Amino acid sequence: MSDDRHMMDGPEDGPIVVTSEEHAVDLLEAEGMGVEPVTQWDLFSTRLRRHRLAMIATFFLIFLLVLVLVAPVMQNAGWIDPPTKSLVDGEGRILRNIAPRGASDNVFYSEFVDGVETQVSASSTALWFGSDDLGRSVFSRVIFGGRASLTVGLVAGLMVAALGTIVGSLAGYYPGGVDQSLMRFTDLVLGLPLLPVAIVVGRILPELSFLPSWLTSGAMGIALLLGFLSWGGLARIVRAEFLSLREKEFVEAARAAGASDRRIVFRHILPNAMSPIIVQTTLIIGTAIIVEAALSFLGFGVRPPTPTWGAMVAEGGRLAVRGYWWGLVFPGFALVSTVLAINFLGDGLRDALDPTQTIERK
Amino acid sequence: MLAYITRRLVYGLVTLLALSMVVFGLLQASGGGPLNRLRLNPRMQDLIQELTELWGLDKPVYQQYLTWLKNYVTPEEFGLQNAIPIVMVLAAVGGTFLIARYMKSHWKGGVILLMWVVAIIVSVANMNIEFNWGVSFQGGGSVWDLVFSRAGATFRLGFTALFLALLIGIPLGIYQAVRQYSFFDQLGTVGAFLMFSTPIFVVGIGLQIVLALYLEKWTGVKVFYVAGMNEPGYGDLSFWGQMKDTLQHLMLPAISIALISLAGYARFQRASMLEVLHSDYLRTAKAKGLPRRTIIVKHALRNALIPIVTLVSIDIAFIIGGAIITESIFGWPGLGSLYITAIDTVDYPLVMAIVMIIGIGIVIMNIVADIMYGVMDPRVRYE
Repeated sequence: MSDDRHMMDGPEDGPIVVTSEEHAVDLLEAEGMGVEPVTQWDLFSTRLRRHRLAMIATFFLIFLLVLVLVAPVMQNAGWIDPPTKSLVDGEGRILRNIAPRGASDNVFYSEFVDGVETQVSASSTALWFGSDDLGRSVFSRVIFGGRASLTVGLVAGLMVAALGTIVGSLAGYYPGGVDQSLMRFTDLVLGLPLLPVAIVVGRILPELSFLPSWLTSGAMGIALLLGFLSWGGLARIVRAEFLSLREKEFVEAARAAGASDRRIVFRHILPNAMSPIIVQTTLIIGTAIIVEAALSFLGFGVRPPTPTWGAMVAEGGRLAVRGYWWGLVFPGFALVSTVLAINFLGDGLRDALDPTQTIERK
Repeated sequence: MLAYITRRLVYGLVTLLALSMVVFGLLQASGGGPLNRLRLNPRMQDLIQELTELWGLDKPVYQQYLTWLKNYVTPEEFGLQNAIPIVMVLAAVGGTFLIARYMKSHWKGGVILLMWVVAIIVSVANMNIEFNWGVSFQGGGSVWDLVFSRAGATFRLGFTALFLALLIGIPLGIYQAVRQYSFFDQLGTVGAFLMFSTPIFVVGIGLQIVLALYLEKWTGVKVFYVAGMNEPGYGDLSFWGQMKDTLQHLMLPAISIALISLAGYARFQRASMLEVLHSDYLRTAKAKGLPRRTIIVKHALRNALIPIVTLVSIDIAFIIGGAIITESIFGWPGLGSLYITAIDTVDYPLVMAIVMIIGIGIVIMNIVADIMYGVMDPRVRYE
């Protein structure tokens, strides 16, 4: 393409009439000057894909989510052992504390009974991560334990995102009485010490017989509790964003053009406040998983026999004292790597969502 | 500023009231609570009746709450000798205002303020004052005595952890910032991420098993103890023997709490130092040919340390939470492990007492953080 052609000269017989944006693009393309529009999403995904750790973390989390979702199917198909049942060998002996060795079927594995090694045969997932004190496969317990952690993380995260965004945007958009009362309430919730209060609720939750059982015994009750206790920080951030954005020129322009409050909030302000909301929610998910694990560790979280990583670490700690390290190492590793992945993803999202960030990373 | 602090104190009081109502209501909602164990035995009927009346468990919840609140805030014993610490506290508060007013831009202001906070804590601790916080359901002892016999252990653990975290975290962050993007910096960043993502109980159990249990098994030398605060024969040891014994028990739980705080301090200090290092006045210092050491120590560091003050105060809340878990792992006889046993038996006079101590601590530390920040950084204005 020669240099003189970039002047948009029309045909000899008259000037071009550009009828629409699409028409302009067509004309440019006809001239061989087509431009691929670069959207915010393109910029975001390019930046995120450059963040190697965040990408690894994303794949890991997707893998984990799928694994956890199909776990009951795999159990029904007989690929993994039931997480709450003791495994027995051919002679009906419970396979307590089998060390993880090898991966092929029908090999002899040693069982420690009162410090004496005996040989038993087994063919199950217990061979991969070993079995615990009650002869349950640590492998399938780690997988099923992920269900509780991810449920708590996702439900609490969604709840925080919803509550924090609603409260924060209302407070930020309507100054005066609404702002004052909402923020005082937020201060109140932020003032509650998370772990001590969560322990109290976790302790009495199973005794609240007027609540449905899915709320009192499973991960869902803990998730809602943690969601309710931790939206304060996000609400403050969203409010600050709204306060600064509502004074910006583009919002003023929209208001001058006669846009309704609803349109201004949803079309103009909220999309610009999305990045702190997303980043903060990601970090809250990590925290919620840790706190749920801590509650279960202390015995005030998800009740046994439902496996959770926190309770498994508590149990594994007692076993590791006696030399059975696998009951501690595998759930501990699962917990740390999941939270680590979430934090790396949060870090990557923070970088990718920042429009002032150049595409290059150090 | 006086108006600001007053407002903050009022909000703090409202928060504490809300906290007490929430926790009290929750504990009551559990139904039966502390007497449930006795109910298993049919011959205990009379005792249950007696205890119910004694503790007022048959009254409506709001009445029980009001009784509790009144008892919680009314001192039972109050002698004339208490006047001295109270005058000290008042003098300290007044002095703090003066300092804040006239020494705003000086570091000295912050240091003196810190000393005053310590003075307040010491004088309050020495006050001969006693509250009627009720009787613990499980042991029958006075909650006030129980709490104060345990508080020392928690303070020892918490302050050691805080000290360790500051001692290691701040220099680490400064070094990372000065050598930005070096191998050490990258290592520190990854390490911090790892620490943030590791729950405190994983750290605690890991340290307990590797450093206390297996280290002794492998080397035959007892370096750290698995649990407890002192060995039974502690009183008979020499001074150095006592010191050694104390450290051998203290270090592992303290390190478990410190590691996570440490990562936070290092990250925060690094960010704050980097911000200062890229500021204009530092470029000026460089341009006029000051030695690198002077620039970093005298010009950058002083300003980069200011934001960490807020973090320390907020971290107190985290350390308390961490202490609950760590104390129960290491069998540390502090408030945290007491809290767990109290919750377990729904011993609510005890639970309420500890929750309120934690809440009061957090409220005070948050206010102190804001004031300190304003005293040390003259750019901060209170609305």
